[in-house]
Amino acid sequence: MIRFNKVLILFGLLVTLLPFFFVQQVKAAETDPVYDKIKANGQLVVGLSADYAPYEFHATIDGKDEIVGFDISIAQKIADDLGVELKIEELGFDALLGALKTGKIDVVISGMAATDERKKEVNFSNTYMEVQQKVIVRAEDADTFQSTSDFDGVAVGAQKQTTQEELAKTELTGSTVTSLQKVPDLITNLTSGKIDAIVMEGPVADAYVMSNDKLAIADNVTFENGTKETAVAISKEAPVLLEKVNASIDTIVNNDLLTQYQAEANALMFGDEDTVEQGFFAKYVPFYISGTGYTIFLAFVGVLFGSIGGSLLAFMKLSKNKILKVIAAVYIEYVRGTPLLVQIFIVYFGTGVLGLDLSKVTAGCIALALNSAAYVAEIIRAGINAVNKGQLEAARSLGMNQMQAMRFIVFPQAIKNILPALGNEFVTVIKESSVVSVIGVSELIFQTGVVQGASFKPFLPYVIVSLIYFVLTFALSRLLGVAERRMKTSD
Amino acid sequence: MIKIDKLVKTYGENTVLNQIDLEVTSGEVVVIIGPSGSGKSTFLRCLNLLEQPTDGQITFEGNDLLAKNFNIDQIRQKMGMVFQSFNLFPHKTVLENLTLSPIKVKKMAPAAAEKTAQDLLAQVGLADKANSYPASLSGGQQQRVAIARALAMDPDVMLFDEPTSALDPEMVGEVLAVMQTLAEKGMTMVVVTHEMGFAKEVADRVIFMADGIIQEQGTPEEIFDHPQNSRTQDFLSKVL
Repeated sequence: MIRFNKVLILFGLLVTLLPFFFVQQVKAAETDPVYDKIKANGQLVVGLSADYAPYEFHATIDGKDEIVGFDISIAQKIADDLGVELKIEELGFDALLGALKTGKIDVVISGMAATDERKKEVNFSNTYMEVQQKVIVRAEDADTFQSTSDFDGVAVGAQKQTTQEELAKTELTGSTVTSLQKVPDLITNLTSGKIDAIVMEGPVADAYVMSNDKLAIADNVTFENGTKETAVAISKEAPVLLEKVNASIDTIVNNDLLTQYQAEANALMFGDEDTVEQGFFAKYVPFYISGTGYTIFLAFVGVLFGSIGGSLLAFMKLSKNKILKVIAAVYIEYVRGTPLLVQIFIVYFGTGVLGLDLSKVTAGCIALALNSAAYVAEIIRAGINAVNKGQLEAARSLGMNQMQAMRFIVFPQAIKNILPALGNEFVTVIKESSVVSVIGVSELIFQTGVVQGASFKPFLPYVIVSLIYFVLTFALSRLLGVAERRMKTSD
Repeated sequence: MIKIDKLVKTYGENTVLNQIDLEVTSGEVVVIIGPSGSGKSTFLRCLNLLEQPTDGQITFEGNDLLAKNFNIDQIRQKMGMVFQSFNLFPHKTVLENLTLSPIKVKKMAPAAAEKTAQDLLAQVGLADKANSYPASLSGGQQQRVAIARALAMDPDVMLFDEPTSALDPEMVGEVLAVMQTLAEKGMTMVVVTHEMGFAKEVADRVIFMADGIIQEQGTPEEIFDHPQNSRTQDFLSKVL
């Protein structure tokens, strides 16, 4: 059986590697499409999820927001060795492999473990770091948990789709596992007593314990398979790049450069501890301001182009042509019947598959506009239908054709019904644009994650962001109310 | 001028107009009376195809209106229509209500269109309301504007669909007066109305409709003084 497996693996390896040999022979070695692109553009695009201190996180350096961490140092080293510029692309962790496979980014360096699951999708470089998984608990519970068998009936948290989640399920026998997207959310759950322990990566756990004395590490709990091999993820179509990256990583490992990188990262993380305590607001206001700017921009562009698309859809739906009618109806029902989150992923990765290289913001705007168009279409249709039928008849009786009657008579009146509802749609899109954070558009929710990651405060940033949203939407609805009353009086 | 042959209009199972024949000659004032639901308004609205007839033929100035791909828009310019509920454009001033279609459809020069509009407003006695919005006018004034608006297209025939039914009693007179003046000037008119006095005084021919067919027609004297049909007699005994 074992022998058979080995044969199978060998065979599999041969099959997967064959194309590479072939490609290399034809192209006279030393090249692959991804590597060529990097060289041609003069930049290495590294994808990461910058809410994972000390791996990668936001810090204010000389008054400027920058992404730092030891993964960044590694990325910089690789870029230097390749002789190109380093470009960081921020994404949600879930979106990283999708972005890599669709060519949005060249490599992923985001504390990513080289698991067998992931190896089916992408290649991994040599391991640059091995870390142990640890269990973090509330300080007063530190002595309760002595081994992996002490977790019967205990609520344990872990990040969704991670090694840690797997460990919690397999090795902490009897535990009930809560999987969340983000580490700060897990910490909030732990401190508020919703869960009693979190499985976390060593360096991250250490960072949280150091910054929060209500937390402790259950030192005696050790995992059998708790060693994580962190590596750089690279597309399977990039063997040359893989070779180059491995060379850089070997240099890093052999010269023990990582120790130095980690020290730098830790210094940035805790070096300005005092200022963190002193001026949370002063330090993080810029994040919120920029986030607010993006949120308003997204909502505005989304509703603007949504209105254009929505008008088109509405006219298609109101037209006499059956085919147009059906197309519009199907689109509207489909978009209104599927989650915005899914639509965003489809637009972002779908355009990648089609070979269009859209930026995150563009993709976000397009997704919001396409989504909003369906809702606006219904608003416009309802607004037009609300205009008295006699108006159209009067216009037609004067010899106007359908187009003229709509343009000069019906539409100017429909606008008065449509505008207030359109304003409400704008308010809705402001809130819904938060979903775009998953592809790394740095709007409010994304920035909140950044602040959480950098400040180690899991709860406060949410309170602040909720207030910002409220102020935005409340001010806007007041404004709309005034505008609406103005329009009424002009009747 | 208008010739209607075997006009049929059905809504599903319900036959509203059943084989109606009628000819209206130039300069004639035809008044259609009859009980509610008799199909008078539907008949009128079929004439300019606001309602699509189910069957039959309508010929207007030699054009077969129900021919395939016939462009009704040009014919509608020649058939002015006045509605029961006025249907003035609320977002336009009175003057704009009158000039919009001449400018956009007939491509008249704005100055010329305004000149015509002012003259028409003077004719209906509303020259001072040119820059008002319809919402600020009384019902009678609105209906007079609506008549002027239809006249602004310089039509060959005017269709009136119960023009005074939505008006307060004291305003009926002013609208009828405008219509009477129009008739005296020789305008061809088809009027659906409940105003028997108007029918008696102005009509060249009165048509009594009930149950989707023309029950009786003739001069006002014939219909009002010597009705032959029992339905006509019954109806007139109730309204007069």
